[in-house]
Amino acid sequence: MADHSVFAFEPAFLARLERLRLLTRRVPAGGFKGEHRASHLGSGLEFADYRPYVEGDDVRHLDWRAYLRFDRLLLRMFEEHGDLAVYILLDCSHSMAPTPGPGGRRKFDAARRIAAALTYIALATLDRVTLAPYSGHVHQVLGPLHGSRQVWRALDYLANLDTGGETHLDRTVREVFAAGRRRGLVIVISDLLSDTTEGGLDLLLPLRHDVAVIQVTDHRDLEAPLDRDTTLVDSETGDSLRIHGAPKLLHRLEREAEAHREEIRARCTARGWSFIHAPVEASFEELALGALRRGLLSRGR
Amino acid sequence: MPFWIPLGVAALLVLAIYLIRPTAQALPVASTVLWRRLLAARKRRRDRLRWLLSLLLATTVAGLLSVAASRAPWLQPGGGDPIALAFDPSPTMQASLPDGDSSRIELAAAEARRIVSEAEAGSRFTVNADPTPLTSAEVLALLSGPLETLSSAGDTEPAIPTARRVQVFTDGIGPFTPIIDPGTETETVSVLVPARNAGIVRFATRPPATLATGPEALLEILATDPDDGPVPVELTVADSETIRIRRQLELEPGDRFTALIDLGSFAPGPVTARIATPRDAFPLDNRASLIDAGRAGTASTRLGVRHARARAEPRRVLVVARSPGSFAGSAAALALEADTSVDVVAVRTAADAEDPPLEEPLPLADIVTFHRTAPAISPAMPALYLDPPQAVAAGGLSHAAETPLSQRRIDRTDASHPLLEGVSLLDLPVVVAARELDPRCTALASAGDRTAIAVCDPPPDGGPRSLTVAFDLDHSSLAQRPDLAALFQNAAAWLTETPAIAGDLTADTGLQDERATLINASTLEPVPTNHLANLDSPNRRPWSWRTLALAGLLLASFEAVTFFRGLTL
Repeated sequence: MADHSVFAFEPAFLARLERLRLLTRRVPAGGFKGEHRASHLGSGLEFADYRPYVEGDDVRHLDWRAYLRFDRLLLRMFEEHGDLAVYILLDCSHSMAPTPGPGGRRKFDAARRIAAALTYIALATLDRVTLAPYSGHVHQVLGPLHGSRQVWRALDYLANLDTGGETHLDRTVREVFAAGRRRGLVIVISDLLSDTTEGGLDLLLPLRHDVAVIQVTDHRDLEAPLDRDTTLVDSETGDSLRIHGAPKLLHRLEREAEAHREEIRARCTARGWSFIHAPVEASFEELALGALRRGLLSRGR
Repeated sequence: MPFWIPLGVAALLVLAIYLIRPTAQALPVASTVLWRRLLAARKRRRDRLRWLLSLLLATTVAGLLSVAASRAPWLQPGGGDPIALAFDPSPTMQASLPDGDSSRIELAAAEARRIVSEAEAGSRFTVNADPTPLTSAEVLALLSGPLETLSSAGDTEPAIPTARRVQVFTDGIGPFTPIIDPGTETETVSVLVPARNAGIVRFATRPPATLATGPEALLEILATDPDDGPVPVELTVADSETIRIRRQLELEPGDRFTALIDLGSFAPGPVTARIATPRDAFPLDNRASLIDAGRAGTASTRLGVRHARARAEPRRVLVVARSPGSFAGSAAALALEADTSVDVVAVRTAADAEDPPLEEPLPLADIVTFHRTAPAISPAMPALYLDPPQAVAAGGLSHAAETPLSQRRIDRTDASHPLLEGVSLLDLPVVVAARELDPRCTALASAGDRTAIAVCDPPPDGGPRSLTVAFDLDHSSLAQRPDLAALFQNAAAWLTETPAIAGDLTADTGLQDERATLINASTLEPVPTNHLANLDSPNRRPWSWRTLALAGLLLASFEAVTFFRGLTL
């Protein structure tokens, strides 16, 4: 049954979302017209620059006034605007909702909210959105969606998602991009608690996409009653790990989680990608602020 | 206990420890990725220390096992020099304890086992003069085996190998003086347990004093008893055909029973004397034999007593007398004539009593006897000086021209000297002059400050022996006693360097040293009676190499349990 409660966005909030747009450094050639400035000059409306005429150029773009004035053949260049291909890879593995019930799904709900908000923003700016929920493999892919009218379809799709299975980002990347999809912005929304995270991100590098990694964390994952010997059972793999209790380990676990996060952040930064930490305890405004700060979103209109 | 029993117990113990460990609570978590990363990070830090500790432990275990396998003494707790065990081989160690079930040597072995058991683990031991170090298990096995091996050497002065401690097991009776490195800690363990004993201490044929006397044997029985009353003794003397004498005696402790047995009626062949005593602790001295090869029949008038190992050919004696008349008929002449071990080849008269010239070449002789004369230069053959002139130095005695003669009684003799074996000179009145004794000579019998009989050993550069009887035999009661014949017989043997008669007698008759019969005559403290009751208590085995190996195995097991128990923090 669809759970739309997690997307109960206020109208005011939606209005704020509409003023945002996804930011990317380049949009590859091709596709539909959109609001994103292309990486090349083309047949847009906004004048960009002159360049000397060379044989083969379209003579319709010659600036005759400039020829009369400077006695040189100059070609007028216009900025190209296009749409952005946005791929949202949403982690639906068991670790996103390790325990049943509303409280146990905080990470998954937060991830879906983020995915919904980004979808809303992207569709509002005429970007093409592809939703690819995954765990051990890619679930049914939705999209590409285009146009604001597809928002409700996307939200309904997100509301019907459930969690289960192990996380295999590497396998997911292979399956999603095996068909040679158009280059664009890949947004990975996950808790990144998998050994396949690094491998999956590495697979995105040669595809030359813009990548944004959003790590959804829940502080409760770092809490455990370690007053005596404990066997930790992995919710995804079922593997057990024997821990000889020591409460001070939890502090070290926090530091380890932070180190893990910084490790991925550094990897993303080195590749020119965005990394956003999205704790479930933070509000979406805080998240959006972080995203603005890190260049994933920009104020569009 | 078999080795597999402690091994099995140890394995069960390890298994129980592993099984009774507290169970852990199961806690589902979103992912164990971070936990495993944390463990891996900690593991990297701890692994080095753990690896070092594991290596140290493994090395220790391997070392223990190596030590156990090689039995390396220098690493064992009781390592280093061994503990030497020295057992008195004297015959009295065979004496029974009052219970009659065990002997002193068995008591010594039991004490040795106790000492071995209480020694530090890994101690090594040597036994008697054997330098081979033995482990405690090996020496316990040796001490539990036939005890003849402990006293088979019979060496009363064994050279004890270098040891950190020497344990001497003795009853303090026999002449047992082991040679021990100076400064070595030595502890004497007394195995003296007083007991009743009676034994034959002398059984010897006596040369007759005169030709008229028949062959006879001297028998002495000595009784010793620590606390009981008179010792009943049954004496039997038998020849080769039947028992000739059977007597019931009752001897007080310390009594010496002496009997002269006329052998004239005995059949030719060996004569055996036996005694039987109730609760006798030392049976070795209850029997003695005589081998009288010289007696041809029961009515022999000529003394034919000669020891079986005595020299087959009589020794040739050259007699140099002061005058022909002085020697003929003298006590010396009679004794030499009666002694079948000597043959007087010639009797020469000294031209000058003070300096008798010897004919050159001398008649072929083994011994020269000077009777009441002495040469200025010692002869080149064994010499027997009989009553040499006072004014002449002879036989190691200086001249005593102006010293008056005086009659005294012999009050000191060297009874251990083979010349006096079977000869009793104490209280013998003699007329002897005061003379100085040469340092290389020894006073065999002394009367106060005067030397009655002197013997001179050869000088280091070689030479003959000499014996000097410094008093007139014809004016002494010695001539009327068999001791003179025995003295001459011993003198002939000793001067010609043949084995003394006493030694042969002991070997052939089985007689023990008289001190052996005195089995209680020791300066050592007797073993307390209550101590004897604990002898049968089981001996605790010290740590052996198997115990060490088991310890190593236990350590290895705990190491394995710790190592494979899982990742730990």
